[in-house]
Amino acid sequence: MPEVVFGLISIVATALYVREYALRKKREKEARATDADKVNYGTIAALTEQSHRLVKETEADTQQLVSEAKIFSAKATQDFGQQLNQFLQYEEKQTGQATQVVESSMQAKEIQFEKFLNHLTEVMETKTNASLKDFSVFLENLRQESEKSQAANWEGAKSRVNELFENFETKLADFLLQTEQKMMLSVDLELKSARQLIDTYKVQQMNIIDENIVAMLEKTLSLVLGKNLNLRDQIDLVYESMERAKTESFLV
Amino acid sequence: MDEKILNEILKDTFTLDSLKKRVQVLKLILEREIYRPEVAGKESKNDLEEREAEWVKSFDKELLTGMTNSMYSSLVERIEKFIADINPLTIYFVFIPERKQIKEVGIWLRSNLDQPRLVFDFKTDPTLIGGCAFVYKGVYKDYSLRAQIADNKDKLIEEFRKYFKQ
Repeated sequence: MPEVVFGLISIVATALYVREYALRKKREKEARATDADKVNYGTIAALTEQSHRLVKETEADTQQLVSEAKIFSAKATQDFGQQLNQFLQYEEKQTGQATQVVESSMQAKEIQFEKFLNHLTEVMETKTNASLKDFSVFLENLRQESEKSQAANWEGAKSRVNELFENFETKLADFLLQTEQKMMLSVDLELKSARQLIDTYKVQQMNIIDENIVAMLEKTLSLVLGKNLNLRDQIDLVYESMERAKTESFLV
Repeated sequence: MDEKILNEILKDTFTLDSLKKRVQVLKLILEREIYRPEVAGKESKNDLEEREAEWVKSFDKELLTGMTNSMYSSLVERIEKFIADINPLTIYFVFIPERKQIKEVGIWLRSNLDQPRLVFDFKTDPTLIGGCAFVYKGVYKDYSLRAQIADNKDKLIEEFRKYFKQ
């Protein structure tokens, strides 16, 4: 509905603007009018009149439309109000009913709870004495059981400690035996290694002594034979050497 | 002809050193005979000739008569080739041998090894104690008393140990 009103208003405004524009043009042309212009002015005047008429008709239509829109709006508002009232009344009615249902159920539950409380109080009162008696008996039993269990634990611990000591003694004996064996083995190895070292050293020293003996012999023989061998003996030794070289085919 | 002259040179020459010296002397004599015959027999001899005078005297000079320039070149070439082709034999003695001993050893080697043109070189090594050692074709072989001691080292040491144990 407001769109229609706005459309009408805009049409009216446009028409008024066109009219004002036409009037101004007319005035300007009339100020410098010619004969031909005068004819045209006549036509324009006629057109202006027609436009006036159209504007008036439009205004009238607009007025009617606005009044119709107002009537429609008022009627719609009235209808909406009525419907809203009806809805509110219905809702109030429903809410009242629901409240009543809740209240009644709450009352029933309170009664039930009170009954339960009464019953619980009665039960507690009747059972407390018996329960206390049972509890004291239970505690006594518990104490006895605990003492028994403590004694058993003590015995168990004692036997386990004894067992542990026995195991420890056995393991310690084994360990000592193994250590002794390992030490013996290690000492044997060390001894063997030391003997080997001594043997090696002995062999080395003996070799050195042997070399020295040979060197000494060579030196001694060299000195002794050098003095004692005459030229003839030396030449004989040379022939002997040459014979050996010939025998071994060295000079072939 | 060259071979005859070479045999004549080697007849009394047993060491490489003396061979080279005698060839040198022979070349001097021949050069004088061929190129300067006017001074042959008149020019004073040098030290080398003096030292080898005895050998020169014993040399059969018939072989050198009529020697021409080309014959001389051929002879020199042949002798140089012979020296170059010698298989080097070096003998290590304990003492320095005299000419007589060298000759004896040379004759023995030539006859026993069946090499009539064998020429050797000699050196001294007193550490050999007795006997000699050889280097032949680059191989050293010790046949001296020192080598015999080294070969019997174990036996000697054993004997020594026995002696010390007593």
